[in-house]
Amino acid sequence: MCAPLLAQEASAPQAPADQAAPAVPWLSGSVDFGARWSSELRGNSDVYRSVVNLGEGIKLFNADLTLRDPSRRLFDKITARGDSWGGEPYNTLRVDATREGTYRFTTDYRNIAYFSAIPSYANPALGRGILDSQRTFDVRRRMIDTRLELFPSSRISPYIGFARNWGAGRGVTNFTADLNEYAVGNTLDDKTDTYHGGVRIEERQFQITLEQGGSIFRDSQRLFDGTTNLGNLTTTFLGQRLMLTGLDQSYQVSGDNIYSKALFTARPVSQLDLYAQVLYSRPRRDTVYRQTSTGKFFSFEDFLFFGAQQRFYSSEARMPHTSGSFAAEFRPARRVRVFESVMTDRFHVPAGVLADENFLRLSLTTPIIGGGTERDALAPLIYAYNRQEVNVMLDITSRLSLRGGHRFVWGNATVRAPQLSQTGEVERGEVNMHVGLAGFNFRLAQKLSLGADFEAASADRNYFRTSLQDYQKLSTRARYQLLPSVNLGANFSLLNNLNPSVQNRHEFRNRDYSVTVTWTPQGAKWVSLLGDYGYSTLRSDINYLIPQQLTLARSFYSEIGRTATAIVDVKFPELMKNNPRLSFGGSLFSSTGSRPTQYYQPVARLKFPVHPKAEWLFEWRWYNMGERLYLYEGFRTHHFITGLRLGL
Amino acid sequence: MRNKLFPSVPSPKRGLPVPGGLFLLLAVLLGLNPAAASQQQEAKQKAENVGSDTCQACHEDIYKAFQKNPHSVVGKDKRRGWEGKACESCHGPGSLHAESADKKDILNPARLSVAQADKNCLTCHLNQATHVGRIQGGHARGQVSCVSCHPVHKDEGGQMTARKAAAVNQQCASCHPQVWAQFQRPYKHKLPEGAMSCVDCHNPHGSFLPKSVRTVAANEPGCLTCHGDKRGPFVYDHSPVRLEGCSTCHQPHGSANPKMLTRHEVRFVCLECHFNRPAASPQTLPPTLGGVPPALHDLRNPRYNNCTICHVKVHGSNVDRALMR
Repeated sequence: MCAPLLAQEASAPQAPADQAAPAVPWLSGSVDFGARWSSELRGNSDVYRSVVNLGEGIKLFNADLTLRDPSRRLFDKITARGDSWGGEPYNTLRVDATREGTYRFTTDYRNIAYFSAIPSYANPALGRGILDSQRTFDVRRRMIDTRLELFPSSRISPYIGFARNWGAGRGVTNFTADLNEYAVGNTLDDKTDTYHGGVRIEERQFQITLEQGGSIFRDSQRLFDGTTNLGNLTTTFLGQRLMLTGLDQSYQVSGDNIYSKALFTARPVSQLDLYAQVLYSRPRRDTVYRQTSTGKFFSFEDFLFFGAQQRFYSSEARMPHTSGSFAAEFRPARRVRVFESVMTDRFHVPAGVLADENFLRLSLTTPIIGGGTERDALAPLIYAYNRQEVNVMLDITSRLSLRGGHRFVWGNATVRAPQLSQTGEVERGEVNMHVGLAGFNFRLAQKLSLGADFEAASADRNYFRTSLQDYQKLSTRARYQLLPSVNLGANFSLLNNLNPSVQNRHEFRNRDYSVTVTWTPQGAKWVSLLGDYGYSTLRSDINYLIPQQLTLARSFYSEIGRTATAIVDVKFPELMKNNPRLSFGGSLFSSTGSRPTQYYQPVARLKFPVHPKAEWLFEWRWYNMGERLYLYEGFRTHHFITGLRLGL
Repeated sequence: MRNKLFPSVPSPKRGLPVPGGLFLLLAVLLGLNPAAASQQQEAKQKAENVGSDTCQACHEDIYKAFQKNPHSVVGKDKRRGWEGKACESCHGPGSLHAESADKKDILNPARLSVAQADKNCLTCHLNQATHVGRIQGGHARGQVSCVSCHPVHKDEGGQMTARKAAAVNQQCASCHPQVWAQFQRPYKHKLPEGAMSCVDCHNPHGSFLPKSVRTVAANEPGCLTCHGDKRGPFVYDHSPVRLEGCSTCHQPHGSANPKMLTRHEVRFVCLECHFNRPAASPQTLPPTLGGVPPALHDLRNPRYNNCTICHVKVHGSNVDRALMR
């Protein structure tokens, strides 16, 4: 439970000690600000940015403000919380405003940096010592979500909302031309605007929510290159060197979506609760793709070399998607409950594409040497999924309850077959699975609690080789209060999955163990300790066919992971109405197996009062990542923070 | 008719028209004594509401903290019918308890079974849109009570539950330490940094999707809230994305593998489904989807060990069947 690490972030600022004061201040909260600096980064800076990405400079680490209007004319309370502003890789801001019985307004903004440049990821040039990944991006994704809910009466609540999700940046990706692929630059820019409105009707016996929404989407991607790019093919082909000398590819996607939602809950009689929902959406996408490339290419289909290529595609896809569920809780006796639920989820994707391709010779006399126009209405992707589940719960005593049940999952899918498929244009799959369910909960006073959930399934068909087929899933948990100040916890979970057919054999095993200790002597008045240790094993074994030799090979993946997190919090005697605090701990992760990795994040923090409403903050944190098989991907650096926390 | 002390607990005298023999059999099996229970209920029905001020006399600390809890609105809002009686809206009429100070004379949800405690809460809160997926959710099935996450008495900064991302994560991690351990791996969603919280992706009240994953735009998986560019529909969908979701290839909580992949090398993620055998004949083996990749690839060549350098549109393409553009 890395609650330890979180505890520090989550803990509220020290109260200004006058809680008994009758008047509530019109403005309260705290602001943390300061500066971060780092030691020299040792190791791979691209991986550091892909994993940590924290920078130096002046920062607003956290602001948590509450504004109250004593007259309650426009609002009762406005809260504003912001985290990590000032060039940080992730910024958040949330504002809530309420006036009891009138309205509730919320807005949530996030700005997250997506950076990825990992040398070992999808890099065919790694064996030649080239550490520049061909799949990288540096994107900023921003999201804003606002909602206004009105309460004209206690029974009817209309609401409206708007959300925008947009991302922009650049990266490196590959342009593929039959026999060779070329790493080129690209730009990314997409935006989705979503509007919704609805009404909630709450009566004593039932509730209905009706919502209608829609979104507008656009995605603009561009690939470009103006240099002589020899690509990943390092040898000649039929005596010629393939290359790319110019590329301009534009990928414009636009679309929309409408959706409807109806939710219903009711308690018609005291022994019965009903829940139902009907959901519908219909996203649509239109695409215009243009490509002009020059260089030396080869077309397998036409078996010819050519010097330039023009491609134009126009396509459209829709996806009417309907989901529904019905559930009930039935209490035939005081200690018996029956949970019954049925759900269905189904969609199909009709699509069509118009393609126009021209292979060009770089001469003015007979420029076009191949290609043509093709219109294709594709077989739709069709999907239907259904699930029915019943659970019976018996409260043997108020401390012990047992649960048993059954889940039946069935469905079918028709998908477009991959190239070279032997099933024609489409492939069809089915899922048919019966799952037995069991569990118990036991609580002895408030000192000891035990619980377990178990599932065992048998399926005679599923969609993919790695899907759950014949599986057993178990999770157990125990909590024990050893002393008034010492709490212990233990969790264990396992998942075994087996696809037993000889040619499709797949064996998957996962175990997770964890123990947790919380020590809070005297109610954590002076010192507290939160710590946990987790141990996990994962093993996947599946075979595949090597096409050249037509022999079976194993895809074997194993991972043994150990994670330890702890935080010790020490409070010192009060000074200027606040307690100086020292916290230290951190998290350590180490794994062996297919990709041995170490990732350490020890941390120490000091808060020292300098004024009744101000504390000096200091933090040291060390990031250290190492990979035994990819030594060049390791990094380590020290981060230091100094700043102030101002209480208002 | 509802019991006055336990308004949410059905009176044993009034049940659904279950056949009497069956009810008796169930009662015997469960060790119930309907007659004794009835006498106890009748005695408690004599209790009357006395108002929260009476409770304050002995439970001063709880009363003060409760005034800063959003639940206190129950006692302030006339329309709810509990004006000045917020304590008794959950604990039942307190007159007997006020006289005897005996804990047996008052309803204490903390000592009830989870089912009864939840029923107490759901008496008022059942009819809310957030609970529509409750029965399908793991918390209801696993008997996690409402008060495990929503402290009713405490002053939680004016909230019924944690709101800051770090505080939400701390709360979830206290019961799901193994999941939180996965976030200590290098490639993960930014939860430890406080940029996201567990409830951004999961609805703790339940959802009709597995693992209580949130939905967006009515019935699409919550992953698309942020990863909207992967939404599609695509002319050429990569079917696992549609049929089994992102976790077919990614470990959403965290991984030691780049891009949170389930395997250490890209090719193995792909080859485990595209295993170079055609879909089996239904007579001999259950067919699975996607068995055949472009079978001419020389897997010894590093170029073909990294499938996504050519199949760049691995989540779906609008122009190319092989997902290369």
